[in-house]
Amino acid sequence: MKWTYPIVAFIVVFVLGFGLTNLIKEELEVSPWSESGAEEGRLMAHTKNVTRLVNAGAADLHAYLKQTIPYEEAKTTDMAPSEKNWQEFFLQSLKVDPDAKNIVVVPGGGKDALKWALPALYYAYFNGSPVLFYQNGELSGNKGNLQNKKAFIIGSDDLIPNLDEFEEAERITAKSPQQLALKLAEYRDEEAEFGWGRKGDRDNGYFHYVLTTPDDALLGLAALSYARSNNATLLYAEEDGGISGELDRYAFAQRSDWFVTPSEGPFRHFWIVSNRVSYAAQGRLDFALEKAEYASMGPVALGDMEALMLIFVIWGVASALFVWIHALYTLPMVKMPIKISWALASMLLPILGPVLYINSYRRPATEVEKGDWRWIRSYNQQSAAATAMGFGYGAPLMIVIGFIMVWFGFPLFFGPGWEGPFFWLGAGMPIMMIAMYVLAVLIAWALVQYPMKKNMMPGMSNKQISKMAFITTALSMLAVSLGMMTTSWYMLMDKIPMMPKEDDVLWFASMWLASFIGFLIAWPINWLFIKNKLKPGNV
Amino acid sequence: MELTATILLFIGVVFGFMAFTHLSMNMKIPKMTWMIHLIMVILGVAALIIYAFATENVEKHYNILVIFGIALIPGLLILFGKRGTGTKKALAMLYGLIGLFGFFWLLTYVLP
Repeated sequence: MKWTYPIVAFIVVFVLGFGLTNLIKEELEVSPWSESGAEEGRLMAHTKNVTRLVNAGAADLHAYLKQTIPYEEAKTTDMAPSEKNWQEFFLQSLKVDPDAKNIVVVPGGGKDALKWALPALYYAYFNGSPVLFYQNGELSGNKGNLQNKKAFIIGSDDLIPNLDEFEEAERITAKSPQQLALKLAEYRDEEAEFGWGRKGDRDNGYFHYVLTTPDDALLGLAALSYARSNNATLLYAEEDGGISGELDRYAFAQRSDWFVTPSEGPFRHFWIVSNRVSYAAQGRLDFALEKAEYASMGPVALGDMEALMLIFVIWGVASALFVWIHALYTLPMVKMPIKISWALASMLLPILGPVLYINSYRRPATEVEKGDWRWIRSYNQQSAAATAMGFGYGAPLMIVIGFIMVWFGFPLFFGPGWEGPFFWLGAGMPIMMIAMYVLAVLIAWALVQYPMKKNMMPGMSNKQISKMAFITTALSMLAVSLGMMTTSWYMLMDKIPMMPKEDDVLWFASMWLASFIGFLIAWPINWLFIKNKLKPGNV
Repeated sequence: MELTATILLFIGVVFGFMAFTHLSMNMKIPKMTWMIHLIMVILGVAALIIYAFATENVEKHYNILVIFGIALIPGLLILFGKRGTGTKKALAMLYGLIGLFGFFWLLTYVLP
């Protein structure tokens, strides 16, 4: 009978030890990626994220896109754009939304005006904002209902002076059309619903970009459909076909990462419409947007959460070793099962575990029978010790079962009949939680609590002992689960954007944190057990 | 051969754990327990060495042999040194931790 405790300890040490070793190995495997990732990414996915639309001019490109983007909402007018008719082309293509909260005022006239206007025209086309063109002191365009709309004046004072026509106006300008395009890509006025708002820290968004040079702005206008069909923002390369440092910075900030599989998205893409953009720039942009596995992203591979939680887990292992070694050498009067449970509990309770352990044994003790010692403790300390007795075996067992289940996988029984009130049984997480609880209770009951109770109450019948052991195990583990399951649900399903696998730091970290919270919840509940003498708290 | 080594070493791990439990409770380790551990570990490591020579796989598990080599130092000190139980416990813990780490490392290759 006394062999059962080391068996449970062995199972826990074996499975969790394997899991943590596997974790170390995975981390060592991905770390060199930060060195060779650049070259490899460039070779393997040459220009997957950039498509070059080679064309023979604006009319050609416009005709091609009319054919390839057949969606009604993204359709531009049939007339081909030119340097002379670009304003008319845009106004005929634009579908004004009467509820739009902004008006866009752009310079009108020749090719130079188009360079400055085009980035804003893309947004106006996407959003359905009315557009006014300013030329020689006059405004033309969608002059209809301009009430209760905020005007956004695009370009410097030289292009458009301050205008009195609008209730509220804001000027957006930059030193060059390239910078203006980038500014609009990041700018957002939430109230007036203006600006793309596509900053680096956006963690959602399936959107694309159209890239041209300011001199080839007309080609950008010919590709206007993309603003609606692909939610594309217009960006400018330099006139020599290269890309500026600012654009490089922006494109790299848009790189997204994946946790388990690249299909998680989001996907971003550049559509190059100017033939002048160099292949070097194309390759650079392609590489900038290439999705990377979260773990292989070099120095950023260890997120803040991971770093903190890793320290938590390491402290836990150190706490367990401390308690185990300390108990082994200094507490001959404590029985082996209790030493094991203190060590295993300390593994999941960094710092707190050793503190409670020391506090439990640095006090007077009496020998009630030969070799059977009792320590004099307060109710609080007794309930902490009683919690640690159950928790030490139960919580690591739950993690062990969880680990085995995610490592090998488990079947889902989800058929059409399950779509009623029991739909949640078709999800992996609830099944895993139930299995973790049930299996951990059964193992802890049979291998730990039953022999422990039998040893402590020799007078009772086997049936009574097994019943009592089952009830106390099930109840105290339920108390632990209350905190543990809610925290692991919060961590795995809500806090962490993508469900971590069993070889991620965050999986172990979530379980460790969840157990810690589980202990804190179970502690006061165990106070009731102590008060009603259902559990001993002074061994 | 890799699988054979894993199974042999696993038996070695189980018996090693049993021996360690005895030691940590200040009990005499039954001769059978430590003998089986010793034999299984020797056979397991031999199987690993044969695997390293025989396999055409790139991964020859040299790193695991090195880890076991390090574990051998406290292992031999327990086996041949005349020491008190306290020192033996500490050596056994060191030996066990290093040995288990090596075994887990092997397991990461073997498990599906």
